[in-house]
Amino acid sequence: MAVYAETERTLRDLAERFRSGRMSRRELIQGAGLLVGGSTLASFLATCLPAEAATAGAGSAGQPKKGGSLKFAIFGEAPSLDPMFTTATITKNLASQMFEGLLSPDMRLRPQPDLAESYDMSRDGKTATFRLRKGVTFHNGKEMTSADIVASLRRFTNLANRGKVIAGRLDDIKAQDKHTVVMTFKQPTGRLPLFLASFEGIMMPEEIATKYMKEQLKEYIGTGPFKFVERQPDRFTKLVRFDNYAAGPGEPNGWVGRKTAYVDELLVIPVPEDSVRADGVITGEYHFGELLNPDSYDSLKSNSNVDTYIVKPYFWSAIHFNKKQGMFTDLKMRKAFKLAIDLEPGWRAAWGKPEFWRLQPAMGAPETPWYTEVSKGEYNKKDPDQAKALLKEAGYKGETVRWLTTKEYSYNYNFALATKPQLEAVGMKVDLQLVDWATLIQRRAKPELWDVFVTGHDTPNHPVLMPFMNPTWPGWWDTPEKNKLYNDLFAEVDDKKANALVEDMERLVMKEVPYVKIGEYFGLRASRKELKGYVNPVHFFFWNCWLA
Amino acid sequence: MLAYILRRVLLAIPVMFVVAAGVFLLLYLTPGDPVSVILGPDATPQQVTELRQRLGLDQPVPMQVGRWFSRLLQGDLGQSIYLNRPVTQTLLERAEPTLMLTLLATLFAILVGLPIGIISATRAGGWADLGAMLVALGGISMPSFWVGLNLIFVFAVTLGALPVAGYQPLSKGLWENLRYLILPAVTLGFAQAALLARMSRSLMLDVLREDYVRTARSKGVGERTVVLYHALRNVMVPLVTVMGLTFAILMGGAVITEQVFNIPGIGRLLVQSVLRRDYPVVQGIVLVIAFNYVVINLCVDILYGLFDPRVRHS
Repeated sequence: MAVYAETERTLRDLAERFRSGRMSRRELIQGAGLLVGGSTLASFLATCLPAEAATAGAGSAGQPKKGGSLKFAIFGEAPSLDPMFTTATITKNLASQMFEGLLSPDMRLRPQPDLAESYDMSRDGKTATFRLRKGVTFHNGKEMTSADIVASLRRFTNLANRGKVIAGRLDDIKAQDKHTVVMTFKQPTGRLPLFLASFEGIMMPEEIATKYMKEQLKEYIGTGPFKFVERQPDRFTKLVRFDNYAAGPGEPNGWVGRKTAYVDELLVIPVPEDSVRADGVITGEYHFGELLNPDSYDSLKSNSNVDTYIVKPYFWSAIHFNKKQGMFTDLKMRKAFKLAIDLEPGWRAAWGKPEFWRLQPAMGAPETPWYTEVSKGEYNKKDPDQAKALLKEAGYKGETVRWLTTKEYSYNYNFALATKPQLEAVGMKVDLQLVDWATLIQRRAKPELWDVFVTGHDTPNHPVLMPFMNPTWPGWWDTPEKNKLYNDLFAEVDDKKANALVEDMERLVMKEVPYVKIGEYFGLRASRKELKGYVNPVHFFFWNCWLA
Repeated sequence: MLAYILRRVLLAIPVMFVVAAGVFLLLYLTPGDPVSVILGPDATPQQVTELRQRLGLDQPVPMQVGRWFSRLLQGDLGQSIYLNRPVTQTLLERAEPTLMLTLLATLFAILVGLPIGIISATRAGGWADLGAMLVALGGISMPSFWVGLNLIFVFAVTLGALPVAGYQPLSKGLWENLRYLILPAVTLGFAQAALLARMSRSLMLDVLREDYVRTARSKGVGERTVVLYHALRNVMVPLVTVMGLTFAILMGGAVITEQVFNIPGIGRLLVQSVLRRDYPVVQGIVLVIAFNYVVINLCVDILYGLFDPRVRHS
């Protein structure tokens, strides 16, 4: 079986190289001897044949028009279309076309009323009152009332990753009248809006929420601009325009405001090969492709039928330490690790073109309202001498650092590979344990099996939503200071004060070194010129988009 | 003959059980956890534990093996963990693309490989023979993903004549279906055609040196009849074995070709299910592949009888 996995990986790598080979023949020939014949053939043909047949009019934006089937290629099959069930990003992307939350983020990622018309949070952070929009219908024709919201919120707090965090503080969820819902809490929970607007807090009819209270949805009935029709795994998922959609008031702004579905249907096609996703957009097979290889950026950008988009902010990555067992339970060891490395070479090896990455210290991105630079002074300051001194103080005697890594996300392995020599230079012994993703996430849950691993986190998520804030998440950041600060942040009603607490949290990260923030990386997407109205949000959506 | 077929079928059952048990144990010894894959990167250990319990993955392996076998005896391959639907349904959905691709690729291989082999043999040592065998050698040596990517680049991206990748079911019309399958079928069939060409050439050369061929020629039988009627029939016996095995291999899913051309067939499902640790699906596919081998071997034996009367009468 491992042979198949290996084949797939080699295949993916070769596909990447092949694509970049179109740009630089020399590299390709040097890199893979067996490709010599093909590149010659390809370049010969490229010079003999017309470069690109213009297939569609790529005129100016013009007036929106209804109709058409929008085909978009995504990188794989979603484990589920239920974002309360799984935290997979791909699920959030698809679900947000069909489902809406009480609150949803605007373009600047601030929670705003969506299915709620307005909401109040009491000053003590213990009571949240939501007044619902009237005249909203579900895809099954039923009118949305507070009973549906109460049941959906119950399911959210019972099942969803972020909902369960809320559940510990929750006192009750009640329908005050047909269009008012009240949530009460045992402890102040001022950051509640962030949890509700996390794409996991989707609203569905009461009977569905009750039926699937503890398991994943098999019926997808939301209030969103598109409704679910059919799903054939690994082939397509089909959504169509919901003609009775009740759009929210106000100008379109991210996931809130006026949402209009112009296209008749959305056809979501899983295409695991990134080169095929890019080629499909070039030839017009797909209108839109996500998660493209940065190597294909230049060729896509130079194509007159294609628009390219860099998604910023997108994800950030960190080196997480095992703080429960092994050498990195010692703060000195974590500090030594941090001081031993310069993050830039590794991050460049991981992402290549400078358009696709940046180094900055915070959990938030400069584009988010909670961005801070308080930890800049202590970020990425390589000092091998001090690292060596700390190792000595910690009594390090050449024990092996077990670094879990995977090639399924090639950046993960490339970063580790480029960073390892720096650790060895200060005398640390590093064993890169290369496994597939399914193995990595299984092993990282067992403290006896590893010392460090790298993973990505959604940059649009507020620090209070970060998975490592949970003391049971692999890495086990469980100190009294952090737990108290996290609790204060969670409780805070006022946004400004909350931002100050985020700054404190960043300072604490520098003090306790639970992880080493590496940097951010950005996604590449491309669309056909005939796709209009697309605003390139973090999690893509296709309302207010039309096909010219 | 009937008794022979029956005996072969009965013998196949224990073979398949051994395969099934082997795969089951191998998968459970492989590290990795389907639940963590499904629940996504931010899932808490508590969520993982809960779902593992609900799916019965926390039970001891012997118990899981037992449960799986008892369901298998009732014809139930179980439920896909990742796709949350029955394995049988999942496999049936993937059968059409793989079957169509295999048929087309085999057809291509036979239509191209066999004539080239025969022509080469009749002109052994000549320029046509040398050229054909050079191409065939290339065909065997070139990895299929490389051939596939080149074909995509030339015919889909540069010329825009055929789709880049994907699959349209037969229900959308035969041409629509074929349009998407031409490039993958050529990719897949190319290596097989090359193999067939080389095999049929050398077999044909052997047969053409036989006494009965000389007798036929001395009787004044035309060269065309000698080659196509007298010689080809004898070449077919070993060739059918090769073609049958090729077909069986392809039916298991042309993993790489399906991946490159984004065809939702058995091969792609197998690879993805391994990466997702979707145990029931992997077991189901391996069982189906084992079953295919058994059935196709059986068919090959029956075809032997048609081509070679000695087998029929023994």
